[in-house]
Amino acid sequence: MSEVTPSIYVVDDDEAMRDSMSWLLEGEGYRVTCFDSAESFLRARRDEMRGCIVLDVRMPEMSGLELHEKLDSLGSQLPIIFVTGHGDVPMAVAALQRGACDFIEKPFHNQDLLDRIQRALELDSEIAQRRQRDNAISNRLGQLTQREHEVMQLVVAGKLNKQIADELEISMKTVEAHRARVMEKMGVRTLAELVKAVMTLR
Amino acid sequence: MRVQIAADITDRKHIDEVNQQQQKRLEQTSRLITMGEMASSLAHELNQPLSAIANYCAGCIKRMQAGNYRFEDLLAAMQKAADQAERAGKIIRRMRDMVKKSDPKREPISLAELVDEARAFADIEAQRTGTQIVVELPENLPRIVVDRIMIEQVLLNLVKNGIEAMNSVPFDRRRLFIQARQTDERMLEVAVADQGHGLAEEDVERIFAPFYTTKPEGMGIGLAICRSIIEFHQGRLWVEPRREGGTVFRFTVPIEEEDE
Ligand SMILES: Nc1ncnc2c1ncn2[C@@H]1O[C@H](COP(=O)(O)OP(=O)(O)O)[C@@H](O)[C@H]1O
Ligand SMILES: [Mg+2]
Repeated sequence: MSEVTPSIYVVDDDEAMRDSMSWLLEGEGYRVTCFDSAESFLRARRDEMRGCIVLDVRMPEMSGLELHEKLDSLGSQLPIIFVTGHGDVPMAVAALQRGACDFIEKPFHNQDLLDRIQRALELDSEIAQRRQRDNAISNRLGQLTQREHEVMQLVVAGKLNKQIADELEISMKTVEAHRARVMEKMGVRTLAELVKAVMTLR
Repeated sequence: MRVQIAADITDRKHIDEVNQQQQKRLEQTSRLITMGEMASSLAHELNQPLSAIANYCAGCIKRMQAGNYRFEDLLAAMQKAADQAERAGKIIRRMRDMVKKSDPKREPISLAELVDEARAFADIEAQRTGTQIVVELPENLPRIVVDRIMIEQVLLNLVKNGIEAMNSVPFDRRRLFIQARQTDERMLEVAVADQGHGLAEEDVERIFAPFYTTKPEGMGIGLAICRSIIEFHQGRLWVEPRREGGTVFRFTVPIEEEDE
């Protein structure tokens, strides 16, 4: 699996804001990519992007809020930090309620922004880890045969081997064999682990 | 018949007068509102260069602290910060120009009349907060030569600040005084005094800086505008703590010359 380096995506129509933001964030050791409009970010966006977006609320054409909505509908999970001006706070609160990560009011204290970015990146890496784990589990689930799948469902539902054998009209021995292979394919050692793995996907 | 017509004419004249007065009011209101809007949009605009300057500086500090930088990079960043400072300066200058360009019309006017007009707006705020506005003007004050809208704007700002400074004192202390006296043959001094939370000694100059505010929703631009307006009239605007608590803002404005 190719590792995507996390980047901070700065979307702002003001040249000086973009340039100074890169200077500040690169000084902190972050990778920064700038976009001068919501549209140009959308064009460059890919599902595997990692990091966070620092988004100006006020832009001509598509506003920060509209971009947020659009990204939502595309299933993007990149955390967003809205940058607002005076009087935009109600707008930003509305955005928060719709699931944006955070907002910061201009003129802001640098450390404030850096703290928020740090938090957003942590959130992003949690999201990425979860996604990776889910992918791994569903890959493993995909490797189960039809029968193994049926056995697994019943095991997870808390049925005993005897009950499973009766229900599927197979021998206890066969149930045990299926069960062992399910555990092996799912990469788990205990029943508890198996239940947990299947639960996370739901 | 004749009498009837005459009455009609006086009626019409009266209506015209009322209309004219209303029209004037409307124009004044819209000018007051425009100045407020202008200030708020300029605040927005100023945010860009100010934030950029802060970013460039913080980026430089970080690199210098880490001892990890190329001289040319720092130089370029500082150069860009300087450019942004210039951009901010231009925006401020534009604000000044707009205040001037709003076509100040200096005319002789009585302070009492001006205070009355400003009160029409201030009273709304006063009623809302249960504040009593006490106007104490001596008789026979000479007329002042000012742009009335601009000075009304100053009065309004000072009254509004005074009311806001009293938002946590008991109701019976929420009294705001507007007073005046002639200081010499050229100037009249107007005072707006409140009994609010007062002001620390070290803040008496700082509060006039643009964007200095201690209010969560404040813009910090009111006093800065007031000072430009008063200086534009060759007057002074300053603040003093009151011994009995609260603050008093004082400004001077020129009075009408005798031989005119
Ligand atoms: N009457 C007053 N009493 C005490 N402090 C005041 C008074 N008027 C102004 N100030 C202080 O000066 C600051 C700047 O005032 P101003 O320029 O009008 O902006 P704003 O009202 O938006 O804060 C206020 O935030 C407040 O801290
Ligand atoms: Mg104010």
